[in-house]
Amino acid sequence: MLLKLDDVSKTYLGGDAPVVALAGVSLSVEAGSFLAIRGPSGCGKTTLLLTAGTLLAPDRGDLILTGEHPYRLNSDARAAFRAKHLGFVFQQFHLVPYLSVLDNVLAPNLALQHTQAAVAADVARQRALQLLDEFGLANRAGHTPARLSSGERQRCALARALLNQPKLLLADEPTGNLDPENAEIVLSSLRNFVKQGGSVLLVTHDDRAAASADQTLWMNQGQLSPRETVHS
Amino acid sequence: MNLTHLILREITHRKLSFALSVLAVAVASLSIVGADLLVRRDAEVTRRIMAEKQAETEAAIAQKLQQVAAAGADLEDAIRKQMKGLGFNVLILPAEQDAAELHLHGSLSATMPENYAQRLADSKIMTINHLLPTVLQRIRWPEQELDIILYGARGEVPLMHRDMKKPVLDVVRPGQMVVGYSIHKKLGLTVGQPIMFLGREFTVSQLHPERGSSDDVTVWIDLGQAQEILGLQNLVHAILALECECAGDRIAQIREEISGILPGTQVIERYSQALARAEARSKAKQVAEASLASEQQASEQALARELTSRTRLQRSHEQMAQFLLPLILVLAAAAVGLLAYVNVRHRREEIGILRALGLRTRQVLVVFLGKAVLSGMLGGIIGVVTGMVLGEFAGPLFDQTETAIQAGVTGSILASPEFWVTLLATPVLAVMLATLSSWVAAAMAASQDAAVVLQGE
Repeated sequence: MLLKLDDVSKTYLGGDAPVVALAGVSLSVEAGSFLAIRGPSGCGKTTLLLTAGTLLAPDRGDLILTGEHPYRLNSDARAAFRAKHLGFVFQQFHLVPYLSVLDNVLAPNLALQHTQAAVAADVARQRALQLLDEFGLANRAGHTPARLSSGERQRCALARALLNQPKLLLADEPTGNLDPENAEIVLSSLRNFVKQGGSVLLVTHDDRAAASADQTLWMNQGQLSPRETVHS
Repeated sequence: MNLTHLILREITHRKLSFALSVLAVAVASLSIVGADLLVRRDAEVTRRIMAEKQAETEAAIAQKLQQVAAAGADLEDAIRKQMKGLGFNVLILPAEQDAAELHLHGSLSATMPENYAQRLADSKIMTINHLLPTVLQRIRWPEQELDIILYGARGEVPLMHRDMKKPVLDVVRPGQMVVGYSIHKKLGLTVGQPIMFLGREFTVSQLHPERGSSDDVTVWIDLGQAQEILGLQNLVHAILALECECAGDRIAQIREEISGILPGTQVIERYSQALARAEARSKAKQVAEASLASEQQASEQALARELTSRTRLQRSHEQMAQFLLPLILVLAAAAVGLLAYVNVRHRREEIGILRALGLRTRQVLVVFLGKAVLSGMLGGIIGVVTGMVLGEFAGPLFDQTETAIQAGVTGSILASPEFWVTLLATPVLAVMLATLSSWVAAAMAASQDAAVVLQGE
């Protein structure tokens, strides 16, 4: 079991009324699996993704990732844990605007510096160039994100997410801003990652994106629905 | 790819923000260097002015000293020439004679042998030109009912070893009488007039003009007749030694010589030109010294006024620096802090994704504080250089002193190790200022919750 959420709850306070984002969610993601979670806006999908990504501590419940309890680690140890085991892809790409494509891809390597998982700079660079080549961005390595198309930006973000060879890739509407052709490139890349032994947790509105997953769960009002689709 | 690369790339991406931070730090550094330079300029210019004025004063005083010395020498020389040829007049009296009697009553009572004058004349004494044995007593002139001073004079005793000098006084011959001014005025005497004096007949041979002294109530007659009248045969009251010569005005030498020849006598100086000469010389010296002292006092006052003026200027500059420097530092710190805060606000998404990618708190701090350190270093160096340049060219604007004195002042200040401490410490202070001012913003960035940013989607 790569990821296991056990009765995880999260409630946002501070507004007019408390908002229950996660209400006793339990979830398991096996190594080498591709799981999609669908649901309406505000149902708690992103909260679930951030919680699984060790970025948002739950109010209640337990989370185990690669056999460890990341929320029992301090902030910096959890950050190092995140850098080593997780990769993120977002709808808005979140590339650093002043870094070149190559430097954006190399950014996760910064997080590993001075840790046990540190990778030599030249090794990281070689891997980054290899990823850029795989994603058709070799000739864009020196460009800044502003000069890239949406599809190229998302491919760059995907390359960045894969640099540290994570065990789990967390994708939040990765095809939301892409045309079908680029969306297919991204989904294909996710499937390839799974084929190579990685796991993907995808939250999306997109039917086609969800169809790329091995399994789709429905989410509503902070709870996972029993409706479950298992793709062949 | 490392954090330094990340910092430099961000700086080149947001040049204006970084430039404004550098500018704020540069202004602060410039102010530190400028204030220190201004205060040191004041001190250096003051030192130069005071040195120049001191030199001018010393030159003026030296010149004055020369003038005074020359004037004093001229005066002394003139007096010496005037006094040359005039000798001392000394009165040789019996040792037991109280000089106060002469001064108070114009007469003497103690006597000594008349031949003392001859003994002195025969002694080859070289310091005396004329010897006049005399009797001198205050008596009543019964025929005229007047109190007078009777002066019996013999004219002169020849000095045997020397050529006879011209007598310094007219000889009063036996039977003749020389009458003082008050007496002949009162009695209406005329030259050639016979007159009875103590039962003896005399002829008035000479009438003295008014002298304003005891001479005006004195009657001079022949020594022998005077001795007879007073019952002092072969005795005299005093020997008047006139025109005594002695190099260096040393009366003591005359006294020593006379006392060796005439034991039991005393010598007092009378109507001494030597004293007048010494007094004149002393007076000339006093005038010269007073003039010099006046010159020195005026110079010292001028120096003190200049120093006061410069001190006032220095104090006003120091007060300005004490007021403006903290204000500028606070404003610069606020500007750097605000720019850092705005920078953090602009980079929320970037911070969020870097945190999501696994950057640790310390790494985020380094990203922001590293930028602050760079802005501090650059601003510090720019501020120091600008402060030096402005100090050299704008310094005279704060000081109306003539530019010749101010030329090369900055160079002189640069030779001071204390100023180098300021120059070297300022970039360090600038880095501290930028770092501390950015600390809050950097801490905000480091503590930023990535989830909050990412949920913004």
